[in-house]
Amino acid sequence: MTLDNMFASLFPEGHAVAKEGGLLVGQGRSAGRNIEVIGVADRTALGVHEAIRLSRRVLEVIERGGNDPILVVIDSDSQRMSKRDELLGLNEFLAHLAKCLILADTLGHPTIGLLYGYTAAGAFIATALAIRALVALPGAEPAVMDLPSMSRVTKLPLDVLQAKSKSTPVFAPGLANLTQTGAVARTLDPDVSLAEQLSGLLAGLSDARDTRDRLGKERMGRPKAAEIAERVYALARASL
Amino acid sequence: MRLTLIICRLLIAGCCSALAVSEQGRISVSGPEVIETNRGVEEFDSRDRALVWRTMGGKHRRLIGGADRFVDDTVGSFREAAMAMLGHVPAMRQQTLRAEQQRLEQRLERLGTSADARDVWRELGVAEPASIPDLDYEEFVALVATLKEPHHDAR
Repeated sequence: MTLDNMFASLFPEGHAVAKEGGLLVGQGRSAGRNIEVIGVADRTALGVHEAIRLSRRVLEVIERGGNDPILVVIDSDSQRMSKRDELLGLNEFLAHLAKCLILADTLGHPTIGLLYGYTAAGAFIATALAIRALVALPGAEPAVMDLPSMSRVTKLPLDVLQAKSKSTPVFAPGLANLTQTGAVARTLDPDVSLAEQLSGLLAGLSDARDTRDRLGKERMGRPKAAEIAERVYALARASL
Repeated sequence: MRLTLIICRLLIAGCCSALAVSEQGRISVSGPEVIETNRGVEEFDSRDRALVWRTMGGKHRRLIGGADRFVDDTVGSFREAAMAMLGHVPAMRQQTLRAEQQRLEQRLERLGTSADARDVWRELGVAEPASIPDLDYEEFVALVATLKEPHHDAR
């Protein structure tokens, strides 16, 4: 689905989302309400400059007040892999963006991620995974870490990792695996109005709790996370 | 005793309320090997250990304000830092993140054209950047105390 088609279906009442330097910033109107949009397009890498631009926008939305939802649309590369970005502290810029999105959600701007292309690693974690609910369009290709890089870091042969990724969805790339782990709530139907599907998704967000670990358990893709999180929570409460 | 605090993956370090690092700690999103695998040895030579440490190592992170405390390479030093930082944790709220936004924007303005960590350190006011890797713990802590950049409560 092209970006134009996607926005036309998401915002039948019109939108003003500008694309500049591979970044998307603007607003659209859907089901009578204003939706703030930020995102990454054209498989652009998320480096220090891209991250600071997006976090600036999220802070502006927070400072303006109200409760407009923030839609984070993503077709990105991974984080920008360069000496310069690491030298300047890319980890701080990506963490800052993630924190801004989390704070926005906490302060009443429901955050929804929408994957419509590729995304990986730091770019994925700092954007579409730092939100309340994540959905995807068919054909989206999310990866926490691609297998060649994982092979280089873990020193495990690529064929071993390929075999493991077939039996263990955790950390295996792809929409199906990330849906099974609970990271992706659902895949949208491109033949049905995306505005209606977004509206339904927003209406179903009444529970503020992050339910991805439970989804992962139900779908048998991430069996341990929910239980461990509950134990940590119980221990933390007990020590008060 | 050699202790290494390596938080080299992704964003956990930046999401903490406070961060202590030792000289041997390395903080990066993409590790040296991953950059080299994806972008070539011209972009980053992962076998150039001096380059790795001055780009991602604990001293560099402390100098640019990416870590709040520099600790010696001992359990006691880490423990002391942890206890001290627990008593001074900035809340994650609008003002804190606005301050972090400004801090990071200023960093890009000030240091964005630096090609190497030594250029960054010079720009931050270090008189002899080439000497940084050889400074021992006390010497480095004393130097950091004279600089402005590492001291902030914006994260």
